[in-house]
Amino acid sequence: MTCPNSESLSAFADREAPAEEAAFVRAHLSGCAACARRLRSIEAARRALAALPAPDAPPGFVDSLLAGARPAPWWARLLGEVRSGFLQPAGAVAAAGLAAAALLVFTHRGPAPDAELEVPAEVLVSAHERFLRTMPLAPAETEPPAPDLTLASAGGEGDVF
Amino acid sequence: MAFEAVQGRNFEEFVRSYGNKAYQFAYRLCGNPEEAKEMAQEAFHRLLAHLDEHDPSKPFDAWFFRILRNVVFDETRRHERRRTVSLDVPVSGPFGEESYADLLPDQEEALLETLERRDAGAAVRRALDKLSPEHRSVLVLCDMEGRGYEEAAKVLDVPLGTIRSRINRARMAFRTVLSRMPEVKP
Ligand SMILES: [Zn+2]
Repeated sequence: MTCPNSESLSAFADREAPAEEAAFVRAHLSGCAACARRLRSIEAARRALAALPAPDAPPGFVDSLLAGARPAPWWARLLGEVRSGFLQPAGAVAAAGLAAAALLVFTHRGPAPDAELEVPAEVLVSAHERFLRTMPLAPAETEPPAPDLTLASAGGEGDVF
Repeated sequence: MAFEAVQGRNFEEFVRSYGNKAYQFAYRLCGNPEEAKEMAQEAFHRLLAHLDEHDPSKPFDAWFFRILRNVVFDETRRHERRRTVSLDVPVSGPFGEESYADLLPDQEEALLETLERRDAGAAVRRALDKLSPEHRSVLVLCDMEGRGYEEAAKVLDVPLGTIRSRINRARMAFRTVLSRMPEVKP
């Protein structure tokens, strides 16, 4: 008596085996205790996996996704990055420059509008430019989906497996 | 720019109907609420950044879950290089290379008993986490989310036959890992 291979049993357990194969496995199972036990084991594993908890997202999660999708002003993104500590070294330098510039504006220059623009504006602009060059924040600058997408569609089993 | 129509569907609507599903999918794959949140977020970012690359002849939600799967794989590879077991789980047994990885009868019984216990969750989760992301994702899609092979093939972007062989190997890897856990004592 030839036992079906494991792939056959596994597909049968998933009700994904083609009709002829399924008929063979079904007939075999009635006379083979070992395969019946293997099938029971596959099904028990599936039930145990299905029973693992999958909690809902925390409240406000979807709103935070939507808020994240709206382009935020550059200064808000910068502040967010500084707070979360995700700044890369170059960005950190730019941020530090920016913070220093802001401090200059508010402590030494006072509220006079044209005085405010004189020197710090350059610092601000260059810090911001450096920041933009080094810190990929905008969605357009995030990594593309992993290259294995194309590899996988070309070859299937050639996919990382 | 962010809220343009996606296949006749408003982006906001898409986020509302898939935000929670994305979180749950990521959670199932990684088992950690904070990581799941970050991964789902990153997937939506990538989705927005690459909207123009979507092939309209393919279902949009499967494409999105593929992006999410990539995010999870990238993260998993970054964090867990050490913790996964080999993909080539030894498959020895009386039925040859592709046959069922048989355990000794008392091991098999112990495994079944563990799987059927009410408190098996922690051990099952740990065993799942030790699998490669490829094996884990096929178990998440088919066994945990109850998707068929065809749907899983679309999400993982592999041929149907690959799902069939991969889920079998994933199951064998899962049994092997679980049977070595201290909870599973013959
Ligand atoms: Zn048999």
